[in-house]
Amino acid sequence: MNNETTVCITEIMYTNEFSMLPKNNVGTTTGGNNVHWCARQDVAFQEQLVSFINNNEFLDVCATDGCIREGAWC
Amino acid sequence: MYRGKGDPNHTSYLNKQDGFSTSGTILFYVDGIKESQGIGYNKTSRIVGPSEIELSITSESVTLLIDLESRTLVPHFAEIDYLDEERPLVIVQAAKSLEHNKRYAVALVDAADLDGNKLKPSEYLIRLLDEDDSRTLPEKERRRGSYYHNTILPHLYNAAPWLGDDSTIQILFDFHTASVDGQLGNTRKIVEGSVNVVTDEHWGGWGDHNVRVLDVINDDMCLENGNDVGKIVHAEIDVPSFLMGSNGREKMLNMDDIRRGYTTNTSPFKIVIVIPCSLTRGTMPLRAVVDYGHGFLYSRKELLDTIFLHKLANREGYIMLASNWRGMCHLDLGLIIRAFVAEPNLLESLQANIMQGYGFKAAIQHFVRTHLLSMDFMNVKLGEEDADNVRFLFYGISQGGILGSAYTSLMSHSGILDGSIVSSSGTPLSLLMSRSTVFKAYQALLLMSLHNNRQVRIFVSFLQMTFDAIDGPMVGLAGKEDRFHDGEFKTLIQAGIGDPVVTTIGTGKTCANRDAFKDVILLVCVAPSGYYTHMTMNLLNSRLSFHYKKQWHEITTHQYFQAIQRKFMESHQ
Repeated sequence: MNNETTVCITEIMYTNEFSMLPKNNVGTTTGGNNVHWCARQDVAFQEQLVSFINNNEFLDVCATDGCIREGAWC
Repeated sequence: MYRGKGDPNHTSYLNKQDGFSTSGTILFYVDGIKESQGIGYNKTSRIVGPSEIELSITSESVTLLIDLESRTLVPHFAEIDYLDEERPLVIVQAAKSLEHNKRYAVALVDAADLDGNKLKPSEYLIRLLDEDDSRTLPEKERRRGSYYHNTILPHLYNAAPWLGDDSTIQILFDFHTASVDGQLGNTRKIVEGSVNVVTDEHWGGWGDHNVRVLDVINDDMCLENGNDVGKIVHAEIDVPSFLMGSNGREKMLNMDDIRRGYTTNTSPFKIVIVIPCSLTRGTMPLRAVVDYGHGFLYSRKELLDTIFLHKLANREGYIMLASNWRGMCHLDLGLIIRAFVAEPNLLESLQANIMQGYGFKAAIQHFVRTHLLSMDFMNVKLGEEDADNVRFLFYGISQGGILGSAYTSLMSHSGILDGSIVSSSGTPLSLLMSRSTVFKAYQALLLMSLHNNRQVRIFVSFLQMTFDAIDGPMVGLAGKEDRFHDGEFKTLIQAGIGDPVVTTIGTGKTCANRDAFKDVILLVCVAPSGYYTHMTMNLLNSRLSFHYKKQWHEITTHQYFQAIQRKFMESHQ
């Protein structure tokens, strides 16, 4: 068995936008937000992306609450 | 369900499948359950939603999903469907995709109406569940009743020992899931066949006979202030094709070629290559060649429009390239609209195109890995040391991540792709569709041929049977016996909680399905708290490290489920 980590998931919490999402199975009817666009450009995500591409390493970018954003402004 | 003019077209192609979807939504309804919000007769049980999946295998849940082979309950969540409030449904969704070629049953037990009275099962189910009465049914239904009495009910009571003689079963049905080969075989054969063809001596390698440069743009682009792109190359490459038929996008799979895993047919396929200034000027070493997967029904042009990727590539020394997702790019929109409005049988072509799209990308990746850097039009000078260090990866966002999960699962053992990054994506599509902001337009299209939103929901549920063959984690699951175990191919998954386009509930399910790779360790860096995050963690069922409330925790959710189940078993003894 190989114990090397081969899959890493990282989620960034966008607090304002998350609180506005409907809690049922139907999408928001009050318009969207920018999370879909901002997440890919987030500094933490890009740092993790670069580390993975360059070194094949998963960087923990969420330590000390590094994955919480008040809102998606990008 | 069809309300259009003329005779309806049928999705009869689904009958070729040998079982039901392994990840689709399970639907039913009993009058009164919407009004009571699925509360149980005992006032403590209820329909358990995605934020409390761990309760779905306990007496807290009025819905039960039973694995009829292992005689155990399957973690799931259930919801009242809000797509059509006048014609509601209950949606049951397994926490992770069901296993292939296996029999399951669904039960609703002891749910109450708004007044606290038990909901009434149908007269027919009452007869079926009555051992004496069921003997008076027609032969076929009598056998069904016998199967219920002799197999399903004993398994149900074994799996849920808190049920007793006073329990009322209000819904009960069983189904068999599709086999691995029936569901995913063609997709795997196309990708593996494509790689086999281009590595065969008859292919003749890559060169002027099958690679054509259409345009090169490099007119001092780097001189412009702030420009990150040094050169753009548009090229067309002949790649193996397992499609047949000449009528636009209405292609079908050539099953003879797929069966023998080889084709002599080719199709021209376009790519765009972006080389940053740091590489054209030689101020950075080439670190990686990244294939970018574009978003929903867009095209390879997205790479040219995505400035942050140009900056990243320039800063780090990446060549980036992109091609269209065959089946899910702007050129496919017409077929999708026709399929949704009036011709659902065209979804078979949509599926065939997406499958072939993975094959196209696989062939292109072989070209990129083995020949791109040495092509004259690239003019990239690499020393031996640099060439050995260049990594070849895939990076897909949104739809690019959804389809990319499937594509890279299939490529993970090929040796020509080193890893993948999937961002803002998830699975399954039937779970994500109605939650997405982009769904409204497609809902409107569907309502041109369907009478109401309940039928839309049913259609979307069936649609998953089409998507199973090309849905990322499912394709990965099919390879669990021989893939992802070498510890070399890695996948980075990124998602933003609060995303209204691809909600992270689907990201959670992607991870849940990844746990099929038993030896894989998931490194989870989730932000504290949150509805979908909670679900994500609940879904994970592997050796798990997760960062929560500023601490690293080591636990498996399988252990968690077991602990919960044990607790309730003990409380009911």
